[in-house]
Amino acid sequence: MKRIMTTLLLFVCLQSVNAYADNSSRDITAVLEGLEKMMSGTKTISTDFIQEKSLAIFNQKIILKGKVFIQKPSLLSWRVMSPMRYSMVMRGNTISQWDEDTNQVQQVRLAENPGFQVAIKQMQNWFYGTFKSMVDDYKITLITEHPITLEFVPWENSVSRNFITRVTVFFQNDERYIREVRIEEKNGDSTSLVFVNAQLNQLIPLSAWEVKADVR
Amino acid sequence: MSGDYLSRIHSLAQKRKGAIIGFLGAVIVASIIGLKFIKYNDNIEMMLPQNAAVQNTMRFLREANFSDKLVISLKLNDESHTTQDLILAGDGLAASIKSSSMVKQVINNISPGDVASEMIAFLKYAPQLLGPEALPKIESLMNPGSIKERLKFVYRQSLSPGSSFLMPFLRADPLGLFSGILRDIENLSMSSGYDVVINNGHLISRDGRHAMVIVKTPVALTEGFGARKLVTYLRGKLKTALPKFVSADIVAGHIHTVSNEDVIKKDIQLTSIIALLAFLLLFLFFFRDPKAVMIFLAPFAAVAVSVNIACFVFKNLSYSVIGMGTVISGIAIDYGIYVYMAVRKAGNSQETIRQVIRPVIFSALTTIGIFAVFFFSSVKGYHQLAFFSNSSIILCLIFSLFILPHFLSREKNPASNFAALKPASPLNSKPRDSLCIFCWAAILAMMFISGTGLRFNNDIAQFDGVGKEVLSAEKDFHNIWGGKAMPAVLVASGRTLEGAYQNNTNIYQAAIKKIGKDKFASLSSIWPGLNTRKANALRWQEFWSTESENKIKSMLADYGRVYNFSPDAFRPFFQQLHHAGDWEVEPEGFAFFDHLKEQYVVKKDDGYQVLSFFPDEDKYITRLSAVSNGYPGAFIVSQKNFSNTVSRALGSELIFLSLSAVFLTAALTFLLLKDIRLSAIALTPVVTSIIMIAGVIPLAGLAVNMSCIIASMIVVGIVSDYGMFVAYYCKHKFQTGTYPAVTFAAATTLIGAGALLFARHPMLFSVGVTLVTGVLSGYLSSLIIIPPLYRLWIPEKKVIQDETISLM
Repeated sequence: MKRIMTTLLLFVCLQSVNAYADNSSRDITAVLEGLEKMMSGTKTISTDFIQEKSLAIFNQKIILKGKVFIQKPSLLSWRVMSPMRYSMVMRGNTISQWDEDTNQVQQVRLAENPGFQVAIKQMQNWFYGTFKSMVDDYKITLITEHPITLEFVPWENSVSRNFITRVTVFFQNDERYIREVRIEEKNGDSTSLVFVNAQLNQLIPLSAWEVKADVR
Repeated sequence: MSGDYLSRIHSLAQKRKGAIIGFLGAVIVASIIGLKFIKYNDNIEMMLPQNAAVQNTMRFLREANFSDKLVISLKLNDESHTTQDLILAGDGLAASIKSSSMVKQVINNISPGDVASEMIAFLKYAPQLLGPEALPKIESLMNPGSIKERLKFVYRQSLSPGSSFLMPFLRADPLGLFSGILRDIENLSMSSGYDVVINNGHLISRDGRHAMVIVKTPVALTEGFGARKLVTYLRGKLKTALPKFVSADIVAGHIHTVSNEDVIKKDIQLTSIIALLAFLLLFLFFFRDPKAVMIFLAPFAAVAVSVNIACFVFKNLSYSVIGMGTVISGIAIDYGIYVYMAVRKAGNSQETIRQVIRPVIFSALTTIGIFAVFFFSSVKGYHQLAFFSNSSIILCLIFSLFILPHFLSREKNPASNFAALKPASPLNSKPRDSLCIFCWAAILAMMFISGTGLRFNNDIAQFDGVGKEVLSAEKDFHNIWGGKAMPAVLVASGRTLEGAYQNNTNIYQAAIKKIGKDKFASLSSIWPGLNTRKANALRWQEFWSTESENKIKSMLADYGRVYNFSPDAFRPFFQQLHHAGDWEVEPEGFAFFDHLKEQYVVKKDDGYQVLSFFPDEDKYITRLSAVSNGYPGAFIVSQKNFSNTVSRALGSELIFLSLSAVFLTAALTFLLLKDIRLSAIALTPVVTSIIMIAGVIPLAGLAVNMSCIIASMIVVGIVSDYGMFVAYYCKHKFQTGTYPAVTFAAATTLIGAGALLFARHPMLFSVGVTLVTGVLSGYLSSLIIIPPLYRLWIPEKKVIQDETISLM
């Protein structure tokens, strides 16, 4: 099922839709360039996160707590401590996953998993500040300037359109990294992700890139 | 021919010389003008047998959905430009080519639509799609242990970073009952074999440096003129609409059509020029007689006239047949040479003509006979070849016997240039003759041994003479986009769409038993025939009794409580449990289904075809051929299988044609010589040529193909003439310049055939190699081997007796 999306898209040939008639003004371009410049100095990030998921499948909101490690250009580690232990490490185009239930490591190619691809690509862009690369997939609007808040709405012919209605990204006052992300999904579910205790440009322990290591 | 007739024709031609010149001149000028208006056809079907399997395949290829598409592969040449720049360039190109009537649709931008929702919605057909084998599996899941395991899985997936994509599927199928259907959709979609990434709705390569634009056209693949117009149009647009940092290659069957036509046209021009120059040099250097130019011009004029006549009869002429023009000229010129040499040697009298008319007519008859047997072939192109060749030969023969002599000098003129071509003395010593024959036998034995290594190449792709630049572009294309190993296709047919679906389903069920489901991509896996779907749905309804449904509902609720699943968590699953959809109605509103249908279903004038794809390997073709044979209208299309089918069909036909040709040659030789031993000796060049061709082809690193076999038959016709003439000379000793005549006849044929060695088109080249080997060895054996054989085998006394009888 993981490659279904990618392969199906080949067969869904409709009339051309101009994806580039972007209404992005000079202001938004300047803002994105400014953010990219500001965040380009950040080489590593380690931060705690609190993820609040409102999913129709559950009676209540699910709150996940964990840690994120990022090292440019292509390392990302996503480690959930509660309510269940789960870790995911991305190296280049491959992701390795582990969870405490199965206690097994599973490897998946990013290109074969559009769900992961969209999620990971988004995370990379948020933390790396490479927002300009998202203009192909999203219409980006500046909601507030101080502190900066950006809204991302997928273009009509973007893959993200299948799952996401809107993403709102809130920045810290110093604009060096993001404070919170809110995702509204197409099926009515929503997720908010708050980052706390962020440490920039600190040496990240090698164990962070080992998927089955102690996730605490 | 009786003396009276010959005298009458001779004197009539003499009296009407002026009128004949005028008439011939007018016909030739009209024919040359007519060449400009000839319609040529390079459709390969013309060169294929009318065998049912071959015709099925060709019809399928002609009418298949993919035959109307051209792919343009765009490439970023400049590192400083991005994929975004490439996409914009692709959009610009697409917009610029849309306007032409030769372009039906341009696909460069695809919308993903709401694929996830579509797939979830498609699961409503699950009751119709899941066969009897699915129910025991479902039953095995209906226990607390399995349910708990699945719920844990759903919970874990819900919390993973990529859960947005998975949620709708997890809710619609918490037990994973329908994962097989989703996997089948994936397999079907993947069977295109191309490695494409969707970037912002565009078809982009994995490296982000290439983009794909698909052009649909109403211009048929095999329509030479239309294909050229379309390719020229697109190439023009590529030049004007693309920025300099983007280059483009067109990959399509239309390019092959145009390229093959270009190669063959260039070959015809090149070989004609080489042949013309060589003929001119030969005649000017050896004959040194302005009148000899007539012999040289006659076959070209005959070919020009014959092309027009053939076009009148066949409407369209095959380029491959016309490509044989220089060879035909080389053969047709022979009769003029025989007459010319006789007249120069013995003077222009009716007696001279009488002495040569018999061997000339018989030699023409053998060649005409060889070509005539091609009329018995089922290959339309061979009919054209036979008609075109025989028409040229007959015209040349008439010209040589009845018109040419009146334009030559009446005096004897034994040319000094031909002195070297005097025959060996018939009174040569026996030991020398024996040595000569021994050497010949030894060479033939060596060639026979070499011939045991002969390979047969039945791949029809070898006749694709497409240019290097096209092959290079295709290699690059496959490196970037994959899709090189194209699958074989099993075609199921039906008069109605539903009938075709049901046949496809029956075939699918048999096929997966033979080669496994993984190897057989069939639309039946996601949309079986009505009978199958109806039976599945009824079985499903019976299985999902209220009791079963309540049992699952209760287990999901009970064991899901620990994960805090909501009461509605799996509502989508239960909603579709009893919604089997309308059996009679095809899925509507599913873009992915529509596009799969476009790929897998072909609408025909007389019904429908449903395609299934599998690896093009012998083992699968063999197993699935056994399946397809059991279903009327079903057949397999595969490159490998097609070559085998064609070679099987042509092979049996060619055996018949070759045997007919050899029998005809032997019969005509006997009719001329009226002596079995002499006839056997006269056939020496035929035997020599066949063995030499068989020996030289493997030595040259080549393989035998259909063209070689046909060329070998033509060789039999040509070299049997040499054998007849030399044997006739040995018997009658007429001083009509036989040796120089045979030599020049061979030289001109070799020029015509040798010119083909410069051809780029593989079919013409292999014909050239076969003809040169056969004619050269046949010529040498007729001059060197026939006289010693004659002396050793036929006593002089008997010859004199026979000569007396023959001259009566």
